[in-house]
Amino acid sequence: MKQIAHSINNWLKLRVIEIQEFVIFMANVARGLYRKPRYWHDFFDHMDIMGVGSIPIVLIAGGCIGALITLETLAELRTFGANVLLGKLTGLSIIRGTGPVFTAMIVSTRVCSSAAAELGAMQVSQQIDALVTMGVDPFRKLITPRIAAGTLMFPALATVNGIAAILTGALVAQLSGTMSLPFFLNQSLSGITPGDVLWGLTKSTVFGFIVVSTACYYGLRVQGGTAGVRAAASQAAVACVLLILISNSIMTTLVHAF
Amino acid sequence: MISLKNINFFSDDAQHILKNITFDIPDAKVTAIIGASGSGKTTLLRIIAGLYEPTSGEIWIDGQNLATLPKTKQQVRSKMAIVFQHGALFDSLTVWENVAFPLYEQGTMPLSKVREEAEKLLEMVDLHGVADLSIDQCSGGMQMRIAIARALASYPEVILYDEPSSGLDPIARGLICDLIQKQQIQQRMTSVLVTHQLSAAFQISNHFIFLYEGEIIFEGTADELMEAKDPYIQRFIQPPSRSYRTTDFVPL
Ligand SMILES: Nc1ncnc2c1ncn2[C@@H]1O[C@H](COP(=O)(O)OP(=O)(O)OP(=O)(O)O)[C@@H](O)[C@H]1O
Ligand SMILES: [Mg+2]
Repeated sequence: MKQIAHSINNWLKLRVIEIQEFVIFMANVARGLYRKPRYWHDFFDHMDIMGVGSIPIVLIAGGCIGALITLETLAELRTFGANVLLGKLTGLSIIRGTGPVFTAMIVSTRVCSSAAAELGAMQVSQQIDALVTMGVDPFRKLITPRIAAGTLMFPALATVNGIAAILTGALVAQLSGTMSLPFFLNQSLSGITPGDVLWGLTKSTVFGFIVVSTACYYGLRVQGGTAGVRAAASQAAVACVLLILISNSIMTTLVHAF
Repeated sequence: MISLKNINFFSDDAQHILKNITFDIPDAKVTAIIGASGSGKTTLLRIIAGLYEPTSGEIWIDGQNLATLPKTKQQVRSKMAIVFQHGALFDSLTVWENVAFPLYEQGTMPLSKVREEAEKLLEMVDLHGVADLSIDQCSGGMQMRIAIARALASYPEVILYDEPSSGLDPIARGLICDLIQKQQIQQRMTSVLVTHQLSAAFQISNHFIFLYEGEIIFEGTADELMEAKDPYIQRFIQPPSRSYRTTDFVPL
């Protein structure tokens, strides 16, 4: 019993230390934002790698999700004979709900472990120390551009994902003979308010920020060779997915509570 | 001059890695830090370079106590460059981009001239026609020389070498030693050479610090080192017994 209490105590202590480290990490990132030099070149590079590089999988995922949601919604609506609402309901659930979350999940599989592994390998091979001795702040050079790029690219990708999902949904509606493609599109677009779009984009921005900063945090604290890099990559991947789900629940609860 | 006074360093897991380290690094000379694997040489170098904070003790550079001037610290340290044990080259960049990196960062040189300067530095370390290779296309000896070129690119006054010749063949090792010596003579650079290869150290240095389990057990010249009474040092500097060879030794 004592031992269990002891190990819980240790576990808690480690988590508190981790949170403390993360806060210091984020303070360093924030400092990198308003101090010169700024690494625009790295920033655009990461926008390209995270953003443009993710477009194909985001499109494919968007198509699948759009088709799936349309079919499921249709089956549900048919039991009530409310088929006409298909476009509106599908559009809303993509823009407010599934779109941002699925996009974040999918993009994080590309971005999260790769960023953690890359930074971890740089740490292990002393490249980060080399930067420091050259007077380069590794936060400003490596972390801030990544987080800024991720925070901007996630909402952009969620938009791409949403468009792909709604278009596929419309196609499915037409093919299933429920409604014509233009009617579906018209209905879903008129059902979505600017508030819904803003809400979806806000969530994506938060996910982008969380995913990339978590990945960078795990990457930068790597110690102990290849095993450390491996551990960091898998910890980062798990943490990213969990944090997306948890923050999504918190944000959704908050927005419905107020 | 760099002076270390009573430097102690404890690792995160509370091991006493450096014990009361006190010595001076004279200007424009090569100081060799020797000792067995795990004796704390790299740790000491990282403390000098500012990558680790010593647990206690002081580092004075040109009469300034580093601990008392947090802001200007960067400035003093920017005159220092370090060549890491395994090069620590940026593997996402090409050879010339690695060498050019400090030049870009300093931003004092027009971008059009940077490549030219990087190639000049590569020539200096006897590398020709490799500017556009990626780092993993280079051999260990080449990587070491690229790392030296990168360190020289920031025009340091002090350069710290961590085992620059370990794992290299005797010819490549000789090349690196010549290079260090050339820098020291031509640029009057202060060099600190960490190594466990005595032959390299004897070739280019006459100021030796001997570390044993985190403690300095000897400081002095090459001759003094050869005559040291400490049995551990004697064992370290004795060349390996070659008696098995004497039978096929043919005098000329
Ligand atoms: N970050 C660290 N945390 C804990 N222990 C460390 C750390 N860095 C080094 N050590 C320990 O400190 C001691 C000295 O290590 P150091 O790397 O300075 O040795 P070295 O003399 O450079 O050895 P080598 O010749 O093999 O490079 C070793 O026992 C090592 O295990
Ligand atoms: Mg070492």
